[in-house]
Amino acid sequence: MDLIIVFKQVYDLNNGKKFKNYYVNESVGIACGLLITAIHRAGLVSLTHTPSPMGFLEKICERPQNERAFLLLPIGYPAKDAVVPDLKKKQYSEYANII
Amino acid sequence: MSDKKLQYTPLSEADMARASEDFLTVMRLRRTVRDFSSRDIPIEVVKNIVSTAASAPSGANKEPWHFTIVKDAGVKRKIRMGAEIEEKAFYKQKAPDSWLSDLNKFGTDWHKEFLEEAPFLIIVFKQVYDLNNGKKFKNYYVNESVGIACGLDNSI
Repeated sequence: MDLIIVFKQVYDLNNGKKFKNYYVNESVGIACGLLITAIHRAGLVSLTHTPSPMGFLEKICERPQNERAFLLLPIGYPAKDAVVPDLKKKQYSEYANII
Repeated sequence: MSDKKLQYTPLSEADMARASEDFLTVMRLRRTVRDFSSRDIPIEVVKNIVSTAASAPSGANKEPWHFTIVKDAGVKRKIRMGAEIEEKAFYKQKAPDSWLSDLNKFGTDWHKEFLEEAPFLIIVFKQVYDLNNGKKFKNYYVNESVGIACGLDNSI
């Protein structure tokens, strides 16, 4: 089992100078969606974990001051008898409409 | 909530390597495109794509999203006009020079003809709280959940 920690760069840091990043949460969220898809397609499982608050991850991983932990994902094989909550997901008509 | 057994078929390490590499190859071909054909696409495809997004994990499984699929030409026109009013103000007044200079290499401006040319628009809404019979309920990690939903991909 491995851990992947995704950090967002709230601004870009280059030789001590700050540069603006755009739509950071949206960009990193989309990247995380691709990440979860890639893990699934590789035949592995993951957990999207958000320990709250996540500041300790920046310290442990020694990330620079422009980075904040966004998501922590253990990835690997499921245990032999793995169970998941029997979720009721919304029906199509509850999450989508066509106009 | 009760639990159920995870449905899972393991891949061999060789298949895993191949599947992950194939997916990487496919995804590296994905580009953000501004030049659209008006050629129609089957609605079933659009529905499957949206349903894939809606399979995303979300904070406490609140599914804090709504997807509006726009097909109607009149609605698309209104959306284009609304977007262009905002974009004109952005490019001509609101945007700081540094932002405009970051955009410069893309050659974009306030014209958004793709909003009318594409056969469908998908608008993703985030639900900042849940509303049920006029009562508000908290949603969790809304931006993260909706961002992840937008990134889920149903390509082979």
